[in-house]
Amino acid sequence: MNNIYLIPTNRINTRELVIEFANLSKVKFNNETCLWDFQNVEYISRSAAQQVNEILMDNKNRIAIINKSEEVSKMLTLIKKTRSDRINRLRENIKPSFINVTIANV
Amino acid sequence: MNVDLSSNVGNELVDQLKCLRPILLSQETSWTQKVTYDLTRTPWITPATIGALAAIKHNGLNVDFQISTESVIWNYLGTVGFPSGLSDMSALDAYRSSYVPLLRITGSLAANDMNSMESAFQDMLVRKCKLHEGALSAFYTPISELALNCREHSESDAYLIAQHYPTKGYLDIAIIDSGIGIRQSYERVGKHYSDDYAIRACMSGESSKGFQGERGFGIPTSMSAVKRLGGEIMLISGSHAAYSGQDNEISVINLQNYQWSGLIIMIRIPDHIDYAIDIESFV
Repeated sequence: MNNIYLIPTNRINTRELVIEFANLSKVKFNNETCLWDFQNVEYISRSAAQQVNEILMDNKNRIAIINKSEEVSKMLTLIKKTRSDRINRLRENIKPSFINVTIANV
Repeated sequence: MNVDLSSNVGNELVDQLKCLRPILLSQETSWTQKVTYDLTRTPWITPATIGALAAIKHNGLNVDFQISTESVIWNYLGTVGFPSGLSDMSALDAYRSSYVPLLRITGSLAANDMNSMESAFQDMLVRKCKLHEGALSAFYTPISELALNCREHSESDAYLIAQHYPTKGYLDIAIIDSGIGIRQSYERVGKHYSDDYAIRACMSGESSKGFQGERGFGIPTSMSAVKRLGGEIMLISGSHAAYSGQDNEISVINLQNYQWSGLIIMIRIPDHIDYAIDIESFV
């Protein structure tokens, strides 16, 4: 059985998203999928879309978005692409080298 | 158990390890018996020491502080809100000073809280420290990332405190929790590492949320931001510490017979940055 959570606002910026997520986290999952109903959402800001993406990543198989408008879909897709570019770039850049130090030398 | 905290601290960030040593040694004891920290002869106290003592007080069984009202640090500790810390971030709007008081981060931070925290830093950074406004994002990136990381990974409250030292030309920030630490964060997702391996893994971008390849960049990107700001960063978790300055190598320090259950992060940033930093290339 799925829980459906209807997002009441039509425009989502970062601040609203935090409030929504606080509400969402009160929903008891019990291994059920929670459907985030975007039927009222006409606009989502870039940073909010980024956070939605993060939330979806962290809750794989537990949260899904339904009834996305075309504009919201576009933004989420754009963010997803930016994100995968970013991850590839970070993977390339993060190659630290370490040296061992003993406490006596500190 | 009585713990003497009178040892003086050198000016280098790594010197603060020496000052933290008695605190690290006593953390485990504080869970089961009374511990009194003697601050009567403490000449100077760093943000990391304040944060670590606040975390111990919060989780300890019976933790006490001995301090004379004539001590040089008495007023200071009261001013920064030691030991309980400020948990209502909206109260931060009243602070316009050369420090950010001890903040206790409980639960998830709302957008308003983050705004208040950033405002408190912004006033200090732009007005007192003369940080280029184009470098502010590079500054907030590690602060918000690491503060949220501490809270999310540790399963415990986190503390944040900052102090500007105008005559020394830098700003020290400490973010501390006495939660489960880096090694146990990996344990939760089935990765059984030593403290040594765990601290290297987190600096190499290995996720402790179980999404390898997609998450885990918080600490490496924060380190990059600190480096671009010309600063230094040190992490202490379990029996190991890691230090990253302006060199290419990260020093991994074996603390041998003492350790911290949780995570201590110390950041030092120079107080004059007259150039903008584009964060897009490394976050």
